[in-house]
Amino acid sequence: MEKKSKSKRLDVLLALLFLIPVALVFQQSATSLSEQGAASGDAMTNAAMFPKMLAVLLGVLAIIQATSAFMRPKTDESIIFTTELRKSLLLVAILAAYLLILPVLGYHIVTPMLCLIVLLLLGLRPLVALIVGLGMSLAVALFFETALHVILPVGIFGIALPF
Amino acid sequence: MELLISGSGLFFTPLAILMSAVGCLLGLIIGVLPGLGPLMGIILLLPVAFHLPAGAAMALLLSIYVGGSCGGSISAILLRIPGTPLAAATLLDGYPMAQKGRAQDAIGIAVTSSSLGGLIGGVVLIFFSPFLAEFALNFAPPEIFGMTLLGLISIVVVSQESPVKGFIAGVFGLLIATIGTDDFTNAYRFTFGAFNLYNGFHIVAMVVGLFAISEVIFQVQSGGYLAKPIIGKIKAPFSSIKLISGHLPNLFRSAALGSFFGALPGAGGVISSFTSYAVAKTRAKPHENYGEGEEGGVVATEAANNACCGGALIPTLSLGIPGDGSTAVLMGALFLLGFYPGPELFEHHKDVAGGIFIAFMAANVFLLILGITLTPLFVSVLKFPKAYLIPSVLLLSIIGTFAIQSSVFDLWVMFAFGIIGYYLRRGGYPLAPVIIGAILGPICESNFRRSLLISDNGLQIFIERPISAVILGIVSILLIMIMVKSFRIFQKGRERENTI
Repeated sequence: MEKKSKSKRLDVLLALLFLIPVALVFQQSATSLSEQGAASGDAMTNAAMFPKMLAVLLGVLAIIQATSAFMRPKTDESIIFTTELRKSLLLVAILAAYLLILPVLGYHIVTPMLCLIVLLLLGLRPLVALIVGLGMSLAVALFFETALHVILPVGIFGIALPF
Repeated sequence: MELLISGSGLFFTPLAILMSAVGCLLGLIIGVLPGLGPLMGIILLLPVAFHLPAGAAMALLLSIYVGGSCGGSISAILLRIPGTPLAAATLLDGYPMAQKGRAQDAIGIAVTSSSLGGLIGGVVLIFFSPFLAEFALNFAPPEIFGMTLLGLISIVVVSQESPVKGFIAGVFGLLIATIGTDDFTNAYRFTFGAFNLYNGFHIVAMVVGLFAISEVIFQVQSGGYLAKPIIGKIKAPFSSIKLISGHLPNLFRSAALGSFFGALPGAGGVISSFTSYAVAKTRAKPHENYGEGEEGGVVATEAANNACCGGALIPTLSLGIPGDGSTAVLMGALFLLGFYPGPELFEHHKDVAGGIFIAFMAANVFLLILGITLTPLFVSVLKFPKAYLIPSVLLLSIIGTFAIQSSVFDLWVMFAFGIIGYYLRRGGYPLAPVIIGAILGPICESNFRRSLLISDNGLQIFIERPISAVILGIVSILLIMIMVKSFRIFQKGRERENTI
């Protein structure tokens, strides 16, 4: 389970980040929704009314939260790059790369690689990681493709299970 | 009775019964694993459910909910680590029982109490939901709007962290729900020209990202990937069921408390199990030493836990107001299967409502059978290193999300919400209000706008109608409670600062 946040800076920053959707709501209401003729009038024709109300509420709450976090005592802001933290960052990068390559190379090439890399990252021996990674990937494919009739991404090589 | 007869056709099929057993087994396994729980189980199996007929799908998801709510007790008893927060109170007496060499009895009592508590919760569900739904038939758009606000704010009030953060999370969820095509004007809102966003974010991609992907990141950060706890062989005998006979008043009282707290949106299993434990302790006989391995402690917490599941389904099914994250996802699943929880479910889809009741009761029966007979399996699951668990959850999340609409865009949504979920959790923002907001958002907005359309006096319609006025009055009281609680938290922080 996660530890409670001790960082004042993160607390303030997160609260302020909620102002981004608030700004987007007003920007879109003034541009896209206005152009579509859906940013004014009564409840029937005004598609911007409800989001704007929510945006105002979110903005007020975010400012309250940011202010109260800002008034908290200072905290130790140093980030200790433990091996585990590095590994979690690496996992996020691997996942992003996987999603980029998946439509190109297809499930049956990229997914065993993903499993192998993640298992190695978590400290398994290469041979065990290879066997488990291939097994996991194949088992999931078998279940989804044969039992649920889901067509997994085939990629440019058109690779799919033969049955 | 009419509902149960209608629902029997939907549930009593070989596939639905099989899915009920499978769901219970998977729920128990997922519940046993520390860090995962019924919500994660429902999320991971949600994509599978959508490929099944409605009856089998609901049987699968409900059984995971029931099994997952009990599974956490096994790790609480054996390792002093509750597999789910729901089992936190179980370790108070379960672990000392195990230390005294009575682990098998403790597990047997936990499973039996969960099952019987769940069945009592099921009876409460079957009895009260139709009445509540019938009452809710009188609700017009202003009342429905008020109920959605009430559901969301109740969750915020009981947020363990700052209520302001819970409120922000809920409003953020409501705002996310506005992305896509507006039902009234057909205008594209916040789509930035991307056709993938015309229908908004898919709820499954959001849920999997927020909960499963963020959990995977946290699990990687917590280390100990190859660690295995040392536990001997344990087999719970069916004779442990007999041990319950000495605790029947405790069982019924705890199940009643569990059902009551479950029915209050936001209260949930943790509050109900600790309250039941406290009540059982105050009513203990002189020779009973709670906290030192007393059977009654396990009975009270586990009966309350699973009865709470039945209670939580009451507002979810009859009013369309989910009480917690798990029921919110179950409600989302019903939406996607084409059924809308609320009075209409009891009016127009009696078979579905009845099928859900039967599936819930069946899940609790399977819980007793599988929970006792397969104890050695659950104990061996506890020895499963995290190194295998993390990629399994990751893979199921990815492929499950893709399988919903065969969309890589959904995978990117999942990824993005995984990052958002991770930072929200790090910042102490609860995730359940985001999902509840996203699910209730369309209902909240459409009923708010419909209310204004039928009103002659604008916003006054919300206070002119008696039921709506009462609901909004309760909402106002809860808002005041949120403000007071937030102010107290702030004051406490200032006082701590002054003492430093």
